[in-house]
Amino acid sequence: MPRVVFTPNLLRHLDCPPTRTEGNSVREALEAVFVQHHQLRGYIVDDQSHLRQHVNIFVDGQPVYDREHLSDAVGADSEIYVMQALSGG
Amino acid sequence: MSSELERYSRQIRFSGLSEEGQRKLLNSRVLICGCGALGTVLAETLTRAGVGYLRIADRDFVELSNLQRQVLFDEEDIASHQPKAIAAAEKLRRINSEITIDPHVVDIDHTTIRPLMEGIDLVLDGTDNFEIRFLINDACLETGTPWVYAGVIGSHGQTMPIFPHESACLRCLIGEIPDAGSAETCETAGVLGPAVNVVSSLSAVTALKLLSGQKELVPLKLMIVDVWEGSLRSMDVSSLRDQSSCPACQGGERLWLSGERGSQSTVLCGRNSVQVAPPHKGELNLPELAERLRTAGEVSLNRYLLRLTLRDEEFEITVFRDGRAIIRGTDELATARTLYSRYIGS
Ligand SMILES: [Zn+2]
Repeated sequence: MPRVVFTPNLLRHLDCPPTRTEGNSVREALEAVFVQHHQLRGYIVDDQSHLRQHVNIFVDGQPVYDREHLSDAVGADSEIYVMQALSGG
Repeated sequence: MSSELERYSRQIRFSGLSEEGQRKLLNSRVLICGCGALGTVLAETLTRAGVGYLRIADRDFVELSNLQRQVLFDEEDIASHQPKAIAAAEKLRRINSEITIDPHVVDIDHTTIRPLMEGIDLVLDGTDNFEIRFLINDACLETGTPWVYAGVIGSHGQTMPIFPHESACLRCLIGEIPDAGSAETCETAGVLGPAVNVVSSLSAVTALKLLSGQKELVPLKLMIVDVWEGSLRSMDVSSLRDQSSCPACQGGERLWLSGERGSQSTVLCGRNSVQVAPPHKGELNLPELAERLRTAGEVSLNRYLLRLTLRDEEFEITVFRDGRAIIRGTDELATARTLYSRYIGS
C-alpha cells in the first residue's frame, strides 16, 4: 500500500500523520485519504479536482506530471509526498 | 599558504574547496534577504567561510523572542533597539574584519530590490514570508541571478537552489501563495533553532559550491528535512521546469517585481504589529521628529530608528529613517495608518 506523507502543518488546526492507503494512482491514493480527512480535499484540489497551485506532489522523489488528473502511477511501496512551501525563516 | 589565507586553512585543506575555491569565495558578492533565523546563520557561516562581500537587508529590529534562534543577536541589541541588519553587521565584523559587510535597514519590495541586487553573484533567502520570496524569484529571473530558497516552520525545513532559465524556479515548484491564514507560520506553529540551523547549513553548502565555481556540483534537489522526526528527503526537481509551463520563468510574468502583487502595509503575522509604508519615499529627520513627539509619550532614539511609546494607549511606534513604521499593539491596518498619520505625518 502506498504511503501518503504531508508537509507538517500543511493546514492550520489539522494534523495529518503519514497514512498507508489503497490506490494505483496518485488520484486514487488521495481520494482514500480524503475519506478520512475531508477538510483536506478542498485545500489540495480545486472543485474540478485539479491540484491547487500552492501545493505540489512528489512520488518517490519525482514531481507528478499530471497536475490535472493526478493519473501518475504509484506502486505498493511508493511514497506520495504532498508538499507545501514554508513561510517561516 | 599565504598569511591572509591562514584563517581559512581548515576549509582550504578540504579537497572539495582548495585554495583556488577559497580565492573565488573571497571574490564573491552575496545578498542575504532577511536577517532573522535563517539569515543570521547564513550570514555567520559565509562570514567565517570568507565570502568577500555580504550585503544584508532586513526591515526589522531585534526582539526578545528572536534570541532563541537568531544566532547573531543578544540582550544588549534589544536594550539599544538595534535594527537586525546593524546588530548583525557589528557581530560579523568582529568575526571577520577582512571581508566587507554592507548592512541595509530596508523593507525589501519591488522598489528596493533592484538596487540591492546590483553587483550581486548570489541571493540567499533568509526571509519569513512568501511575498518577498516571490519577489526575489521575479528579480532573480529578471537579472539571471541564482538564488537559494529556504523556509522553515516547527521542526521542518526546505531548501532548493534556483538557476534562472536553467532549473525550476519557485513558481515552477509552487504556482501560488497559500491563502492568508490557511497555513501555519512560525508565530502559530513555533520554530526550533536546530531546524533553522540545518536548513541554513544546507543552503550555505549550495552557496559555497556555487561561489567557489563549482555549480555543476549543486544537485537540482528540493531538500526536505525534519529534525524532530530525523528525516531528510531529497526531491528531484531537474525536470520540474520543463513540465511546469511556469508563468514566471517561461511566460515572463513578473507580478511581484512589477508591484502588481505585494502590499504596502503589512500585518506582521501573530506579532500584534503592522508595518506601515511611508506615503512618500524619502529620508526622515529622526532627531527632529523626536523633539516633536516628546509630548506624546516616551521617545528613544538611535542612529537608525525612533521608538515612541504612547502615554495613554498601549501602542508602541518604531519609525525608521526611510519613513517606515512598525506599530505594535494592533493588527488592524486602519488603526495603524491612523496612528501613522497622527504622529509621523501623511
Ligand atoms: Zn518557473
